[in-house]
Amino acid sequence: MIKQELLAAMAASMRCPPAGIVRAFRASAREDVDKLRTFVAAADAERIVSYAHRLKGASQMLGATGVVDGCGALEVAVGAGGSRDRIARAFANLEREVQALDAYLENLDA
Amino acid sequence: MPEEARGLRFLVVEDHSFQRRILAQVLRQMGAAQVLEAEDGQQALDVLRAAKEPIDIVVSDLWMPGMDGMQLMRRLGEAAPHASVILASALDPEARELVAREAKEGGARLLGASDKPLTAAKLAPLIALHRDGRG
Repeated sequence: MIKQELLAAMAASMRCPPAGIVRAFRASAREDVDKLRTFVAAADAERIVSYAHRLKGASQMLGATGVVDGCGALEVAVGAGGSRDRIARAFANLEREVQALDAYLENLDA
Repeated sequence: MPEEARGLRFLVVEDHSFQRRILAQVLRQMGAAQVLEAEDGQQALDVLRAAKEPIDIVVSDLWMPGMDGMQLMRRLGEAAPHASVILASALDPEARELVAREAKEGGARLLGASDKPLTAAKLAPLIALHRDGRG
C-alpha cells in the first residue's frame, strides 16, 4: 500500500514519529477527495486536474502507488477530454484506492 | 544527523499544506536558520521582497494554481537575484528535465530537480551545490 522505507526516511528527516505524518496525510487526502468529488460533480475540469495533481504529489511522498496511479488516470481522463462517465469512473476508482489506503493506514502500526 | 542546511535561509513554495509543512520541517531539522513558506509564486515573490534577511534557497513545486513554479523562476531575479532554486516536482523525469533546462536558460540559479518526497538525503547534495557556488 505504501513504501515503508519512504515513511521511515521522512520520519527520520523530520525527527518525528511516523504516526504524525500518517495522521496528517490521512486528513489531507480526505480533504482532497472531498474537493475532487465536488469538482467531478460540477464537471470542473481545471480543478479536477489541479486537485488530482495535489493528491498525487502527497501520495508520492508515502509511495502510495495505487493512489498515485488513480490520480494519474483521472488526470489523463480529463486531459483527453473524456466524457463525464469516463471521468466519473476514474474518480470512483481513485476513491476506492484512497479508502483502501486510509483503512490500511488506520491499522498501520506506525 | 548532519546539519547540511545550517545557517541558510529557505523559502518553501508549495500549494499543498501537507507537503509544504513536511518539507519545511525537514529543512528545519537539517539546521536551516529560517524557513519561510508560500502557497504560490506570487505569494513567494511577496515573501521574498518582504524578507528582512535575503533568502538563500527557494524550494518550489512546479505546478501550482496562480503563478506556477516556472513563472516564479522567470521573475525570481527581480525579488531575489542571489537565491538558488531547487525544484520539487511530481512530473515525470523527462518533463522535469526539460523544465530544468528551460529554467537555466532563463537565468534561474537552479541547483537541481528531484522527485517527491524531498528527503534530507535528496536535499543535502543540492544544498551542497549552493554552498560550493556551483548552482
